[in-house]
Amino acid sequence: MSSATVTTHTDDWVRHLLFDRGFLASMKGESIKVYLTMLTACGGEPDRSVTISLRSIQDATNLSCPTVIDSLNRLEELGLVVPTMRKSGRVKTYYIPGVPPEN
Amino acid sequence: MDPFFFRVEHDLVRSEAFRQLNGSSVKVYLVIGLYADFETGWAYPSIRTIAKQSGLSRQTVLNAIEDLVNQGIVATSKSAGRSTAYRILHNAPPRPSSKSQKDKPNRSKSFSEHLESVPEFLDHTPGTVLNSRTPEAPTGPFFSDDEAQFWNEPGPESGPKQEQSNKNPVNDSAPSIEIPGTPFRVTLDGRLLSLMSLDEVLIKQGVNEDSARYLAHRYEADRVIKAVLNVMYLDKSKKLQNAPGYLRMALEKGYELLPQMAQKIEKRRSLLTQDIGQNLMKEKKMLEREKLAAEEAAINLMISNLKREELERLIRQAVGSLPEPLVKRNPSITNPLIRARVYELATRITESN
Repeated sequence: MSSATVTTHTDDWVRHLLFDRGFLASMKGESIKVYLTMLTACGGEPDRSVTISLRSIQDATNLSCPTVIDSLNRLEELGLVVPTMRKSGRVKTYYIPGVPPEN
Repeated sequence: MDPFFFRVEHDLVRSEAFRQLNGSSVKVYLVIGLYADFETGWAYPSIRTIAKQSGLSRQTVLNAIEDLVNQGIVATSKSAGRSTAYRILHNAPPRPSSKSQKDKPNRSKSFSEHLESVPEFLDHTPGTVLNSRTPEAPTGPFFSDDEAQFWNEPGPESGPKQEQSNKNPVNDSAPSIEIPGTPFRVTLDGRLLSLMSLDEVLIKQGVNEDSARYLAHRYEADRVIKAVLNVMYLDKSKKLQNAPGYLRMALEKGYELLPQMAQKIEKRRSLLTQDIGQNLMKEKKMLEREKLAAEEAAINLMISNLKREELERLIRQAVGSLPEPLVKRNPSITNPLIRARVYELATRITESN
């Protein structure tokens, strides 16, 4: 039984995240566009690191830079993206975690 | 089922339409994708369900659906007593790269090409998933016959209808003048004619083949030509980013010609009027010349048939009947007035005989 649950979460984790856990409804504004773009860049797999510039996200979503940053902050608050700081501390990077733990 | 959902999503993300959609529309798209029937592709979620799943208000959902329909991403089918059916159309125009933006003919991409553009990370999903997206004979409702054609397997009777002949009025015999830089002509009464079939024209503007056929069939030729002319103008002025999207919207809402384009066409039309006027004048002059030549030939024939004595007698008679100043200088047959008079007298004699 438990293995079945794990399989479901692995195979359709985005669906589980967006619909079953209700994150789609929680995302405000243009966050969904930014999230889908990042997800595409990550190849649809969780916990995978990929480098994508703000400009690329802007191009893909047709959003302005402040909107993209705002959306990333919202996604960060929801736990859908996790910020990581590089050694220099200048560039803020994100990765998409798998299904965040339920509160 | 689930990877199928991913594919739909990915199709959208890579399309030009994704850039034009707002967050609400993307959310609604995802919810419709979630509820889509695996086999038929039709989804029957209520507005309330969509609103609940996407966290949007009813009105926002309705607006988003309208937006998706306008973008040609979702088709709807309303029937009395049943909930509205939605279907995701997998033919959203691809987003051009910076290179392909310069190379406009590459903007269009067929449905089959979209299938091939499935990203690598999805390729390891089971083969049944790919088959699930193969167009099948749908069992759900349809919003038009054309859409049914588009989705059905081509059967013996379901081939594309050959109805473009009446929409391509190139055979029109009315005088017309070309509109430079376009495959269109304008007639004297302001009608627009196309030298190419309209679906070809739409394909050249970046609309994919299936949609182009559908749009060319659905809307009047005049409306299609106006929309394309607007796109051509906006594209030339670099004011347009999504030509297929604009075309769809323009066709649906029946956009009139942009003032700049209308002015250009009006100029061509007045040029045509001027040309036709000049041609008519030329024709009239030519007819008059031909008439004079015919008369001259008849006079010459009549005079050459007269005997010398008879001719001299008729010349004397003609000189006597005409006012003196007109014949004083040249009282011979070379005088046109005398020639005409001689011809008249000779004709009278012939008739009386």
